[in-house]
Formats: sequence, structure tokens, C-alpha cells
Amino acid sequence: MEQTSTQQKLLLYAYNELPAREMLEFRKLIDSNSQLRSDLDNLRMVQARLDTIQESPHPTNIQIVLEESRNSQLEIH
Amino acid sequence: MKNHVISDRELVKQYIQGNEACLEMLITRHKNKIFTTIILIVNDTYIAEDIFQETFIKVIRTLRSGKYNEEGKFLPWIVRIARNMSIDHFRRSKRMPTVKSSDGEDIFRTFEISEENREDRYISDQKEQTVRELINLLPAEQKEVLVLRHYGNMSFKDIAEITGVSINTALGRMRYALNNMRKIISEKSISLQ
Repeated sequence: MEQTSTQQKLLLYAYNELPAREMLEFRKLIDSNSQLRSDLDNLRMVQARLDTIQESPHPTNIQIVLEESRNSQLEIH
Repeated sequence: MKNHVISDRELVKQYIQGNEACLEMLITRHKNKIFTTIILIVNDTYIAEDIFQETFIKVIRTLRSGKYNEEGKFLPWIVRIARNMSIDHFRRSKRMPTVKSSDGEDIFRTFEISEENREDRYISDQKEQTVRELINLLPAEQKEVLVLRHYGNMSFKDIAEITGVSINTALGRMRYALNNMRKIISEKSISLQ
């Protein structure tokens, strides 16, 4: 149970979701625990792989959205 | 000199007041995260383009109607709309997303590719495709949490809320997703450096 809880906290830490004070405390725990440090390294490795995917919408699509916005602005006035 | 970054909240406020340029700034800031999230859910570039457009039209209408009340949480709010639109799309078409091959995907972007170094682009595409396939190998529930958290920037709390599970379950699914990916990467010695 404790193990699961620590692993969940590690995820929250890796995604910057822990409150500031808990972030610092957990960082200390990581620094003092080689297993946790290794788990964090593995997590960061997968995060880096995930970051290789970055897709962009086609510029024309963005222009259509902006035009829709301008038209709806005109309708209001 | 310090760079002053205008917050999403301020941009939304100014856009509602009639400053059209603020919408463009918001789109520029968040388009890749939103589009990547959609494309990973639907696995089809063309459908993703449609859903991206529909999502922003809904965003515009909601902002204009004065119904937006998610101050400080602009991106998660849009990702939530995009996710719902993606689910609606599959309900309407009565099919679930499948893994799409890389063939036939980039016709829309031909001219952009020609402007880049083709070899670099090929290597980058291969890496991206491999990661995409790994994500698609995950069980649907794990994939959903991973996509919404990593690409959609939604908090685990928000993900738990929209998927109707506890935050511990959402965290558990993410943990399994990342562990599964790490195992596959290690077992298959996939090089993505």
C-alpha cells in the first residue's frame, strides 16, 4: 500500500502536481532513495519519448477558425 | 529585459472584449497540444483536423455567449471539449479508432515536408510513428489517461472527474501505461534517441 502511494506521488511529482511544499519534501526523499531515483529516471525516459510526438493542425484550418471568430464578432455588432 | 507573458486568463478576457488577436495568440500557444491530443485519440489526421475546427468553433461560441467560467484552466477546458467531440465522432460513425498506418497520412502537408531536410524529417517521422504505435498498444483506459495528462495537460484530478474514476485509479492507470511503455521499449531495444 505504502509502495503504491509513493509511486503515485512520484507521478504527481513528475507532472508538477504536488503542492510546492510537498514537492520539496518529495525531492529530498528521492535524493535519499536510490530506487526512487531510478524510478524517476525511467519515468523521465518515457516522458522524453512521448515528447517526440508533436502534431500541428494545418495553417488553413487555423485561418478558418479565425475567420469564424471574425464573422461571429460581426454578427454581434 | 524581462519577457512579459500574457496569461491565458488575460487573453480570454481581452478576446471576449473584442480583441480578435488574442484568439490567435491562444491558438498559437496551445494548438500543438490540442491537435496532438485529438490525433492520438482518433488516429486520423483528417478527422483530427475536423474535430480541431469544431472544438474551436464551440470554444468561440461559448466565450462569446459569456458562459465560460473556467478561469485559469483554459487548456484543460478545451481538451475536455476536444475529447468529448472525439467521442461523439465515433459514436456517430459507430466505429472505434483503429491504428492508422503512416501511409497516406501526410498528403495535406506535402509542401511543408519539401521545405525541410527530407532525411531528418524521415528519421523524425519514424521515431514519432514508433511512439504512436506504442501508445496504441496500450489498453484503452491507460491510453486515455496518458494522452489527456501528457499531451492535453489535464490534471489527474480533472481526468478522474471526466472519466468517472477516483484519482487513485487515474494515477494507477497512468503508472501502468508508463510502465508498459518502458517495458516494451526495453524489451524491443527500441532506439529513439
